[in-house]
Amino acid sequence: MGAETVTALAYDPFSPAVMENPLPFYKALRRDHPVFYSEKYDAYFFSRFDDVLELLSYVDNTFLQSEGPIPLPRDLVVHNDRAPTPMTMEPFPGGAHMMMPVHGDLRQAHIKPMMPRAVARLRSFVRELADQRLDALLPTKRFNLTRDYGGLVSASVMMKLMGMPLEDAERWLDLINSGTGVDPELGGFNGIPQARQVAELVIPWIEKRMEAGADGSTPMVDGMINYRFEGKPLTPAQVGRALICAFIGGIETAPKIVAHGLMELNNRPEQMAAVRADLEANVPKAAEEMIRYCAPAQWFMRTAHREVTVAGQKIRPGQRAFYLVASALRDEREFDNPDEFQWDRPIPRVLSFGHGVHYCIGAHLARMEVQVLVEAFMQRVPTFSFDMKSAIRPPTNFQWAWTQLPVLIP
Amino acid sequence: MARKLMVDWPLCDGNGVCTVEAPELLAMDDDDNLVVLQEVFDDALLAQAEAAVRVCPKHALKIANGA
Repeated sequence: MGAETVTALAYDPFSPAVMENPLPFYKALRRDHPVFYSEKYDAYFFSRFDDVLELLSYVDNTFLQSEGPIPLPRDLVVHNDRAPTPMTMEPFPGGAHMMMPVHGDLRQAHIKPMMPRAVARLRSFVRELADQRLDALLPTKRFNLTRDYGGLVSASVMMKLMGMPLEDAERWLDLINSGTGVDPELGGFNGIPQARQVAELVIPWIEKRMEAGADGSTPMVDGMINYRFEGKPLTPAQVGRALICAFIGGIETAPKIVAHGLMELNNRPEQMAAVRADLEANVPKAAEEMIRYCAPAQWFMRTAHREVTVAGQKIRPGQRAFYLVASALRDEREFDNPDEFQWDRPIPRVLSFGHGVHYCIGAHLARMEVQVLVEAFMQRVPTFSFDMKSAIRPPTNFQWAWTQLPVLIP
Repeated sequence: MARKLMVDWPLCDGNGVCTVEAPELLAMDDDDNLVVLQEVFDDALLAQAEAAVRVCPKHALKIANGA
């Protein structure tokens, strides 16, 4: 990092130093300015675990994604003098932007395959996918652990949930991965073009499913097709937009946790040996620490729609509240030696999947995938190393993760 | 004292973590739907109910006084 001083006051989620490595800034914020106000963005930044949890415990439309959850600087430098108009079904930007209870209805229309019993029934399929990947990759002796292993497995799982051909997994993976970087002109992650593009490409599948009768055998898609808003079905475009949060989230995140987590464990031979002593018993625990330590999403934003107090701070309608998830996961008040990767540390509470209205709908699926992918890799690969000189973790305000993590198999 | 366990159904996904904390009050069916075993409960089950409220990731549970 350069000579830029790491102080809480220097925090700007879009500054190059923060996007390259936000962790020292989070520490300073938690310590010196746990409620940090940015005049530039008219926004409060909450960095401590308890305060993030308090913010997310408002489940009553106090805080909405009415300006989107991951804005750009250009959106934020314009301030609101009152609560903005909440987003509605027309035009429909996606389910996550809707108020309760419509948001809840849209969510429930497609989440059945991601709930615990359904996810448990997918476990052996995920293991098969992992083994197929390893069969193909291990002989090559060097590959990108993030994309080539976990990425293709997660994408294949989403193909199954969306009723798409497994052979298309790689195409969708590369499309979705290409969209999560920083737009250099706009100075941040711009989610809208990719979301629109993916939604457009999904439409033919929705139409195909509608023609086939949406009988519930592809529950994620059929549920959304059969959803009725005020008695009317959604258009194929609306169904697409309603599904892409799960679709993109399901491909983007677990692979990064698996690759990064294996790398951190591998850097600590004593811990690696301890986990290996009983993989079946220990991998689930190690997976939880990987989820805490390596979860890629840095923060999300809400806009206040009424006056509310969070962590003692009064927030006016129209002001913004950022919750710094990745900071909460390193909070000294919640976790001892939080910057240490400790595979078996107690984790009584975790915020990697958020909390409240927008709690990650893929949490059970993500957990299962991380467990299966880590276990399969450790079972089949007794020793491995990484070419960290070629590894890449692009600076970003959104998902800070190793997109290129070359693993070497002896 | 009688209390009531309230589920905010539009919020409840069926994540099921509450059923681990409060097995006498809450259960899951095979389709991942939450089943309220008993809505009204007395002091003996308060600890279970409070734990369930705390662990729900959707913040979908509340305890109200009275039956």
